[in-house]
Amino acid sequence: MDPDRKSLEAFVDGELPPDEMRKIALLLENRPDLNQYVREQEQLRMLLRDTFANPEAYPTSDRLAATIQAAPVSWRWRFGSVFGRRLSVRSVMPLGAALAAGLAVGVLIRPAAPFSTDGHGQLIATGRLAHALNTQLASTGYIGTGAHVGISFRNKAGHDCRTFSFGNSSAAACRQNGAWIISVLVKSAPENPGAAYQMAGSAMPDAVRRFVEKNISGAPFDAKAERSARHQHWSGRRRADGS
Amino acid sequence: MNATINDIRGELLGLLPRLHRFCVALTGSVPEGEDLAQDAIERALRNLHRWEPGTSLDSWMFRIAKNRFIDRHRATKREHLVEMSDDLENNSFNAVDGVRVAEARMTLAKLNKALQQLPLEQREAVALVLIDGMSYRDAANMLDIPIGTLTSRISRARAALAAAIGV
Repeated sequence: MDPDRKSLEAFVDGELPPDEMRKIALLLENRPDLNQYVREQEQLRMLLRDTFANPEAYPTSDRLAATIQAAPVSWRWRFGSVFGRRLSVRSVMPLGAALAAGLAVGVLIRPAAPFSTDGHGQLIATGRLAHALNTQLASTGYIGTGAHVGISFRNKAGHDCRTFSFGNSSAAACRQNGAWIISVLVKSAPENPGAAYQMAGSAMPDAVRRFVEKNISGAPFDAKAERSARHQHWSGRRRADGS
Repeated sequence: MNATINDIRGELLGLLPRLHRFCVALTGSVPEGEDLAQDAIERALRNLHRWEPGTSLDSWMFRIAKNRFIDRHRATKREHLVEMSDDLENNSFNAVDGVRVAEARMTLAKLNKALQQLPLEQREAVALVLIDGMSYRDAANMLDIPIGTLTSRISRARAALAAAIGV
């Protein structure tokens, strides 16, 4: 019995079990009518992807990235994340008193946060993370700053960039106007405290790797180039006007 | 370990290209898709306490985008048919041959127009499976419908789109 139209479409979408996929593939060799339908559906799918999934059609929007980095977050979520549970109105009352007391202490002892946003809503590295990106060389490995630097490179705009992992986040940041602007930030596998070096190029998450591949100009810095870039305060390629 | 806000923002950044194109497929326009995605992101972060940690952030975001699209559509009472936006039309093909470019743009215009004429339930199924590449199972879960219903919607949409562009 011939496969019905939905089965042929599932074949095009790769959604049939392997046995069924093989059976239909064999059948198509001798059935030009069915083969024609499958080819049309493949063409349609390809056309849709070319039209809508082409990254060149609409590259990552700076406005959307800025919104993600700067949009206000639910206070109930923030509160719940601190106390490790979901909040009801009743649970807020006693916790409020504890929070008020804790805040006074917290502001004194809380370590500096690794990220913040600048005046343009861009996510930037701060505190220990910024210090690590400024000073730590990938070639010297982990030196107890909390950040594991992966590779350093110059992007096509002439800025120095570095990939790194920090806690359970992996990211790439580029140095612009005296700040490390986070260009991509993804959740990575939980940190292994025993690992001395977390993020060599081979262990880079896909999103970070894609960012590097898309933006890198030339080869990643070797140890000498990295030292030189640090010496130049990661100022990148100087423009003709010296800025 | 619970996700921190930086983890969430990082996941959203990674999801951004997919969310954006889902919104473009719903609205038929890059700028309108961007507006819709921004609306969805702001709403999601403002209501982050409603997201259940451990469940798919992707699916939750897509659902918010779809619901915002419906709300905006109702609010503005726009015509269902959206004109092909110039940016999508101009940027989607890089063919060097002038005739091929013209033909490609005509096909794209027809395809986008046909997509926007589909009922929303078919359009979102196309956006998730044929454009985003989501599996039937994941798309059905996201839309909260049986897989059979999803494949029927996709099949009807395919027929309409193929007829519209003469495949």
